[in-house]
Amino acid sequence: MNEAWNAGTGVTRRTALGGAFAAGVCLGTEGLFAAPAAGEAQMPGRPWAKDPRYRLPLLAFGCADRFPQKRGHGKNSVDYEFAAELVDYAMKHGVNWFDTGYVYHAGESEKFLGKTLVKYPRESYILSDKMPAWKCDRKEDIARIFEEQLARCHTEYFDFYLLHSIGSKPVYEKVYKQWGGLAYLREQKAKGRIRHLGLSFHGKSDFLEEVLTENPDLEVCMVMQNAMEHTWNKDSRKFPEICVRHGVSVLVMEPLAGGRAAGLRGKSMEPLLKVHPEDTPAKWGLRYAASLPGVVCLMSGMNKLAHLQENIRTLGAAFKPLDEAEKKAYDEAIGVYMKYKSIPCTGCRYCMPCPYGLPIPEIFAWYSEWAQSGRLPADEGPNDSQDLRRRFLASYYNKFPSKTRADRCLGCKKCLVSCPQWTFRIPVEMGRIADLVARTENVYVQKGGVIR
Amino acid sequence: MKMLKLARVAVAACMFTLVTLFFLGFGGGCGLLEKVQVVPALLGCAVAPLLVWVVVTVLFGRVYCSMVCPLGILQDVLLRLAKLCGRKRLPGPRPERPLVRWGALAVFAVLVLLGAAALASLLDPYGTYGRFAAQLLQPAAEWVNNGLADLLGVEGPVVLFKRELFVRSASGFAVAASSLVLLAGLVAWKGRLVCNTVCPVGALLGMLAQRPVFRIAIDPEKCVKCGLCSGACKALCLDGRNQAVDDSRCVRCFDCLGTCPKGAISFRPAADKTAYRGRRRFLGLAGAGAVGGLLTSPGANAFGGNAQALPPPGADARSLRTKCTACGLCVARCPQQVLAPAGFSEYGVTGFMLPKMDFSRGFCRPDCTACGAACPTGAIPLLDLAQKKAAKIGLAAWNRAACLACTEKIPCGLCERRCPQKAISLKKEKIGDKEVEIPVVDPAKCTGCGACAHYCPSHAMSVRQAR
Repeated sequence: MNEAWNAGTGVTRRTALGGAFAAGVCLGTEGLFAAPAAGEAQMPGRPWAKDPRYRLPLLAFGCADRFPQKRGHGKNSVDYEFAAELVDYAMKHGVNWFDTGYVYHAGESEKFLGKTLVKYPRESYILSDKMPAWKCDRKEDIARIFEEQLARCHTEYFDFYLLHSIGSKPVYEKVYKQWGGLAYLREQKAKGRIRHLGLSFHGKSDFLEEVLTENPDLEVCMVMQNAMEHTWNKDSRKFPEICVRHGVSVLVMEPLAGGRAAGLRGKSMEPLLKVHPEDTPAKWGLRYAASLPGVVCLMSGMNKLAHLQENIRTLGAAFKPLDEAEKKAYDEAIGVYMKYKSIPCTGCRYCMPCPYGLPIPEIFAWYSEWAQSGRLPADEGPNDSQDLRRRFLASYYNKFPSKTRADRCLGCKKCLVSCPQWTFRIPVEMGRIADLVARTENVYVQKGGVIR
Repeated sequence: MKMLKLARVAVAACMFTLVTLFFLGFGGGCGLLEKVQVVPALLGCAVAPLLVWVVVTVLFGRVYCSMVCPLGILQDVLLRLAKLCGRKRLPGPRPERPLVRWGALAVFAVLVLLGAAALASLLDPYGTYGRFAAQLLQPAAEWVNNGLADLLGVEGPVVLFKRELFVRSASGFAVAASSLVLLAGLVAWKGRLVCNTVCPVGALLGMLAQRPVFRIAIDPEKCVKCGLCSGACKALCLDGRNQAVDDSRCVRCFDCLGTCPKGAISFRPAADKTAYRGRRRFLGLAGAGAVGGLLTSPGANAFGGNAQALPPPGADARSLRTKCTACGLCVARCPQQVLAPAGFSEYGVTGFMLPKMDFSRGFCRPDCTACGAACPTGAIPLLDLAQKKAAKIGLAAWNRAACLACTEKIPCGLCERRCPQKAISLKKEKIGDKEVEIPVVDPAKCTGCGACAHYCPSHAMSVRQAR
């Protein structure tokens, strides 16, 4: 076991009961757990110091809006057949932790897991769910949502239950303290309906410190950790150490920054290829996150079998944390990537729906794609080209109908309440994109271009 | 003699394609072929093309009707389709209906002189074809364009912009669709019936073409009076059994030349020099028209009333009423999709189908002069860039009851940020216990381009007529 693994967990100890339990977790029931084909990578379970019943995989199946979807049936129509195949593959190969949330796929994520995992014995998989405080309008909503989650997931208990997206003090104070949200959840824990309490955190480090000090019974903390987040939001580098200091195990969300860490291309890949010519940027990203102190598990959304297989190979038995030279190379690569200014939106869709109809994550993803490829039109230099302007404008106008474009943002700031990224402001970025498009169009038309 | 027909088909195909492509957004420049059509030239008082058509018609007859008029060419296409569907022979010679022809021409002239050009345009062959192209063909072409744009993406050698698909106006669409069905029926029934009954251009050119220099001539020595040629005549003006041709109705398709098994029909200078009665009639009519125009022009707004609609930049309701033939070319070529044909209420009943500003899909860019450049009649004047930037379309108006700053206390200000003229400023105002910023329009700077109306999420901004 590596240092990172041990840092947050302390001494490992297995009682006879825990050992038997863990064997159940690992081996499962015959029939459902046919042995994987020879040569395929496996995800070994690792003992967890806080609860000897558990052997945790280093990779968990993230179920936040990233399940494969049925084409043409809207954003939240999980493709049950294909997603179930992924789940079966994951179970078969040791990735038996499923991390879901009330808001994921607008509730479809929990329902899908409930229907799909029901065929496995409850002890064979680990299920974590979260309480969306911002969805609670009154005190009673807390219990209602919790009961609804248990029902949706067809389960008697959650292995881990997190306070979802703690970040703003007023919501935290109101829901968890004033309305007794935490007391209610502790009660559920005492009843055995929650095995371990924790939180997922989007905020500043001193607030995390405060929350963890106030609630010593929180055992896990899920934070966004990847090299990009560490650049955009330097404060987030402190999270793992704070957790370790409080004896809290770190779970990593967005280890690949919503897929963007897997999207290193061209120039930014050069320093990495020098060290490991074969390795993909996804492998680098996962290894970076898993090498951080106190990390026990990475939550990664995987909607392709290839992603799942690759991630198991990366984080399986053969996993090695980054050494100093590798860390340096990776920092250099991220530095190059950051030179092309993009918007650090992870596409979590918490901001949606925009009351004025803007597809906020899609607009940012579109912009970042152009920014990262170094192709934003400019008034001088190599990007001062009519051809590039035409492609840029056509790409924007064809993708977004007139009423859904950035220039429609009126700055009502409703999105800001729910955006977990505080390194950028949605309306400000919208204004920047609208200005860039307007300037590009003006120059394009002035130079004789026609928009048809 | 078959060469003549081939040449006619070639010229017609070329003209038809170019006219149609201009409607579909191709061909950049000026739309010359639209500007030389007879009715647009008449309405726009373009002397040069009119003189050319007078000379050409006096020399060769109504070649305009088969080679240049897009509706004439469309009828030939429809007839070809009808023939493919089994309509082999046309019904043969029919007598002229002078009352209908001259009556339609008179109605057309009176409507134009009284300032109801849009109603008159229901008879205009170019305007009618324009409505087919703008209302039916262009949306179809855009549908194809959007499909191609999706297919090609933005990385290939050709980059296409998608366009929003919508019906320009329900009434305009209904008029175009029903007149196309009607036209197809009439063509299958009696060929070029429309051209020799209700078409004012057919009547005008018919007067000039009563005794043209070049005529369809039947050689009495060779002719066996079999009547085969009559069955091929689209204009129903060739009486083979009596060896008679009515040049006033003949549209010069040259179909008859090839059908004669004896080779008795030819196109050549006429031998007899009968008095050109028709031309005298034409000159008389032209004189009467000029006098009538002078007399009625002060009252050309006879159907005026108080128009609610905003005319395109540079135009006014009066220029539209007296000159616009409602072809929809400006609507089709507006890159911002700001123009739409009016219904019955905006300009009144007589202004039905005239172009009006509609800011729901875009606003009028200060640096765009596409509508004026395209307009074949000059109803929308051609402005240069400086004139366009200053052209006053209307004046922005603000509705407090709908503005989000007042109703929701949202610091919106989108109208101020999007105004290309910087004519809107924000003024602080206290509503209840909250301070909000409300827009104030500077009437001196506002051109009524509609950017504020286009972007306002709650329709609190609109553009009214500037008075």
